[in-house]
Amino acid sequence: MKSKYLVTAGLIVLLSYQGKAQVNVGIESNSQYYTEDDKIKLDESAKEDPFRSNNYIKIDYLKNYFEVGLQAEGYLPKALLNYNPELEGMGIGTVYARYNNYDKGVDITLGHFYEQFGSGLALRSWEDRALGINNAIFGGRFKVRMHPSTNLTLLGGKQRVGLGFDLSDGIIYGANAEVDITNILQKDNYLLKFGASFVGRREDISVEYPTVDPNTNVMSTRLDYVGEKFSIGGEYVYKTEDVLVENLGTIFPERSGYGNAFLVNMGYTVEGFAANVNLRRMENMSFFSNRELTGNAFNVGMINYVPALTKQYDFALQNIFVYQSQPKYGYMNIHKIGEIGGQFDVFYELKKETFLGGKYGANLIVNGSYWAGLKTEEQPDGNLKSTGFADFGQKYYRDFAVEYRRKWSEKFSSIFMYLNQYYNREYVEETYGQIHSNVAVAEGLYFFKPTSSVRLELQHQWADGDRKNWAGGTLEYMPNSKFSFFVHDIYNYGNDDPDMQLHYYSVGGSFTKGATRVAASYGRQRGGLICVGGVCRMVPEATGFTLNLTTNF
Amino acid sequence: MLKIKVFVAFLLLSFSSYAQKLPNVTLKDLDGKSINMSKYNNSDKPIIVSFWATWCGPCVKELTAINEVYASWQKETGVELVAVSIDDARTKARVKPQVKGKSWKYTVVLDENQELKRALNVGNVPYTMVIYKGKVVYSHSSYTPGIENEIYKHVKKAIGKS
Repeated sequence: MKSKYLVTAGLIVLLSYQGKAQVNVGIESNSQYYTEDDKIKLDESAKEDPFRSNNYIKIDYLKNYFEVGLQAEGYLPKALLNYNPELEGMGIGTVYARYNNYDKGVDITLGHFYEQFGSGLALRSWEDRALGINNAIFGGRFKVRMHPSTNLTLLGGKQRVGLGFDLSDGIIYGANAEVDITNILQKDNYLLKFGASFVGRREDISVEYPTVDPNTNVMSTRLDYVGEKFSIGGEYVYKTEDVLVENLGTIFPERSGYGNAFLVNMGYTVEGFAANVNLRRMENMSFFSNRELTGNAFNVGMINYVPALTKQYDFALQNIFVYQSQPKYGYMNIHKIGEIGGQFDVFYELKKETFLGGKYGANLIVNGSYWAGLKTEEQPDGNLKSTGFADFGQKYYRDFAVEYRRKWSEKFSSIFMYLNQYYNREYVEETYGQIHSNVAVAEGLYFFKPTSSVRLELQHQWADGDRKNWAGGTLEYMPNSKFSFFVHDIYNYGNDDPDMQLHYYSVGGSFTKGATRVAASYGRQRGGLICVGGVCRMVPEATGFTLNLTTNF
Repeated sequence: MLKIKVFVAFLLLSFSSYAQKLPNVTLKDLDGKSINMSKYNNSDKPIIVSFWATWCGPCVKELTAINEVYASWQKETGVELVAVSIDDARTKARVKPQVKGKSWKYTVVLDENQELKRALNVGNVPYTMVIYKGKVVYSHSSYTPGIENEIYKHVKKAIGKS
């Protein structure tokens, strides 16, 4: 607590000295008033506080090479449903002071900071308000440019696991180096970069579990080549031995294992055509600042970032079955130890004055992915191990999609999309069921005037499991560049239970002026996984009013 | 109640000085080269900074719409558009294919851990700013079809060419 007051007092002193400085302020407020209707009921805790809001105000003060800033957060009276319940009331979310001199290549931060090493497989701390993620590290970070081609980062601290000063028991420390080899070789027709990271977590639980080593370390090395047309990059990550943690944070000291990950990205691009492939194999790569947080539903205390490498689709019915990456070592419910697979995308620009391109040209996008578990076997010591590097186990997910975007005239353009999916819910969510689905989407946008338009989107999903078939549509009217109004509905008409054939409708509008945006809506939200940027959060089924506000100055 | 006092102090101060410009944040472009964003403050050409992501439908629409008129905008005003992708490790690999596959002529930089987005207090994408001689002269949150006409008006106004 003392450090909290010291930091804030320090800020006031700095602020009182104000010359030619810059102050940036950002405000965001998301509120929801939950109601019930004849079909959708709230649980008791939701009924007690039907109005909930998440509010953020972030203020940064910059002067020459110095910066100070803080983010205050208010969950009033409580956080929106299914956010981390630790977030309650008002408090400081993050606070920092920084000296950042680009010319000298020195950047020092004290307080909360966000950082990512490489692709994030070893370390990523970031904020995503839509998902309720803020795993900023509170401590110190030192970045230095050792040489025009070599950058080094050192950091240490504890991770935020609730409000800004609710910190993890585990201490995180790390180092990262990036070397631009092309710069050393003085080449400029291609780029070759090398990177290496080390991240350690020290959490001493020896009082309860004397055999468990407090330290767990992750090492990563990577190499990236970017040529004129072709690029390729790879990363190898190794995680030292750690105990099995499962079933909401229960530690099983008799079982343990080390982890690793391989990632390969390849791309080929020329004007008007591009393709890329990502391949990844990972085994036992969950890494949390407190072991007991392993696999928690609110994504609290994640040290590394292991997103699902599948395409994030635009339309509602394409997001009913969403793959979630499977880094964990699981023994008690289902035997699993990781995943293996890949994805590809092809982008193609159809030339003007061709059959598919038409008068204005068109775009064709094809993508797909395949993910499976690793084949496992039980060792004499009771641990699971993968049987081989490329031994595919249970199939987890597969998708294939084609998208065609075309402009027909100055006034009309459209999008057509088809998606085919297989989702193994039994293994991915550890519940039951396997689902095959097909989704078709058509969208048209028509302009009345240059800034006045109407958009209609129609969707259908055929599914052989879960809640079966859905149909949906959205109509959006934008009379000018400031206002927008929409009606949206997805209808689960195929549900086997006629009482559960629900409409999830919503109506709303938004107003935008400059950097300010206000949006309001009323309706039902479909419960389930909401995923942004590869991380998912469960949301409850609910009816209610929503109000969102963002602004900055 | 120190918290509230700090808060009020901050708020008062923030109203007293207003001059947003691009911060000292270094990002990588599609070829992996580093670009320090503050260099655009010294440009004598108008700059459009547009935050987007491959998974953001409205963002792709906005940049596609601007791409059609970009050549004539550049000819008339010398404007440069810097498209800041906030795609992270999950979708980053899709950025270059998306850009080249659509023949976008913009400077594209990767804000993979949202450092620039955070420094400028950008809430959601799409988010577009017009910067002239180190000053933000216009910003706009979200995309409504046709907004590119309005953006261009502000570009022309900034250089006194409306």
